[in-house]
Amino acid sequence: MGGAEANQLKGKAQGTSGPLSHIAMNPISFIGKDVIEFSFHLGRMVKLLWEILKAVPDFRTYSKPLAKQMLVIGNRSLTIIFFISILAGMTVSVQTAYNLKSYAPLYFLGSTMEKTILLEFGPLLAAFILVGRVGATIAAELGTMRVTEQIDALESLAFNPVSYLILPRVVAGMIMVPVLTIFADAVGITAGWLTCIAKTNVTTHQFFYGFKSVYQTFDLSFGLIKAVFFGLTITFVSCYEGYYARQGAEGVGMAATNSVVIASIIILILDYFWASALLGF
Amino acid sequence: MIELRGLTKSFGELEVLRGVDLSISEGRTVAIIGESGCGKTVLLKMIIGLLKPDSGSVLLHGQDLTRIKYKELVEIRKGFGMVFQGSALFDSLTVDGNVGLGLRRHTRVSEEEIRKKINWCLSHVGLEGAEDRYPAQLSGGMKKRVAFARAIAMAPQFLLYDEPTTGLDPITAGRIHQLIDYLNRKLSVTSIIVTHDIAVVSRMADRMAMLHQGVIRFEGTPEELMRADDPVVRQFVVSSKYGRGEYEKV
Repeated sequence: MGGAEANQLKGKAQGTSGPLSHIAMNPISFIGKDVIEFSFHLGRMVKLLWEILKAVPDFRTYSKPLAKQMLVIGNRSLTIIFFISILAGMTVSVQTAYNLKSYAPLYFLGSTMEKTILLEFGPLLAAFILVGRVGATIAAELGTMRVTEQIDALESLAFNPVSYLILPRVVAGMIMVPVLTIFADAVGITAGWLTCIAKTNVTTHQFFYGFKSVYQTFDLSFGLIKAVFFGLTITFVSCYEGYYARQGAEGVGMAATNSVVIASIIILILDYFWASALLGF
Repeated sequence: MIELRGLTKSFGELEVLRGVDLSISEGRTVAIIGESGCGKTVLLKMIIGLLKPDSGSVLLHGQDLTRIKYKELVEIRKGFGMVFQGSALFDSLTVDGNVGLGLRRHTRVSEEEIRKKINWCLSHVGLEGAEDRYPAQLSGGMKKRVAFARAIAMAPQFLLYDEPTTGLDPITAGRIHQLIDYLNRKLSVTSIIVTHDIAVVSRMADRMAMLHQGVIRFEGTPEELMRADDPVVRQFVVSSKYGRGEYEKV
């Protein structure tokens, strides 16, 4: 029995076509057999999370890969975040101007932009870009390593794959998503401000008067707290999907798809949770 | 000494191992043979702790590897080297990175010493000067040889080979077998070779074990294997020698 064949059998024995695949694709899966499957994945996720926490002191193993992963996440996403944030900032400013024009002074544009982008658009936009850009890549990378026995090879060389492969990606995500969120915030607000002065009668002075009049440090912190959890979600879900991928190329593809779908759903749930918990409503 | 006692393993309803007992003495080369899909790789992965048996034990110098803590298992793995069927080289690392990965993590010697050691390993497998190449730039036989170099880099006591010549042309396969034989003699390690290529492996193995329907059907020297009366063993030996069609004529 070949190694890949042994891996495949292991996947079949677990009775899954891919981690969390049913839950991602079909909400009815919460019934019967799929409830058991859901519990199995939930238990395995908690176990993996525990393994990650236990690996934290093993800094010597993950320090180098961590630096590399931070660079990869930043490099891979900076350009796309830049362009999407410009477009989002421009769109938000135009639509806000339309909404405000008949019943509020236009300097409110700065106020609304500050709240919309710092509280919601910056973190959410960065997270969704990274889900597709980074999450799918991580799941495919680890999935390929799993089905080609590279993870087994790593273990045979006395490495803990959680310390070497998963922990650096998760920590890099938790650091880089907030960093990229600050970048998205800055680009979005700048694009919004320039669009306002180009397309409406608002002056720079009025825009920033509105901006400063409602600005609170909490707004930025709120966005960054969400970003840390979004980073954790994106990297953890994609690592989980990739690490437990089975059944060759099909399994790798499924891991990449599932990581995007599941992380997106969790991000939206977290977005509501933090809004509800921290904004006092 | 490695002792496998009553190892069983099922994947869902498929029972792969049904009570495997085998002893492997130190410094010996043992070949585990058997049909494709009979569980040879599963057995090999159990020896190094990559798969857990449903029941039974893997004893290394009397210590049961199935019941120790993960940290202890990781320490024990430093004494093992494994060559995987598909080579399993790390795509993102060069040959140097692949061979030196364990050395850079588990030893505290200087980078210069590590490079010397990598060169030593590569020279043993005939791949001097290939340090900067990526796995994608290597042929199947070269990948296999890099996998050998990676396995011996940490100077292991035990070398495990999973189908070391599967998928290779006869000339490259012959070179790989010579290499295994050379490494076994040169490094004086305990080797476990999983294969179905009896003809070649019987020339280098001290002991042969045949896995059939989840149990060890035969264990003995290569000469004893060739003279075995057991019809199942006999069929496997003769089929390997002449091919199934020829055997039917015999």
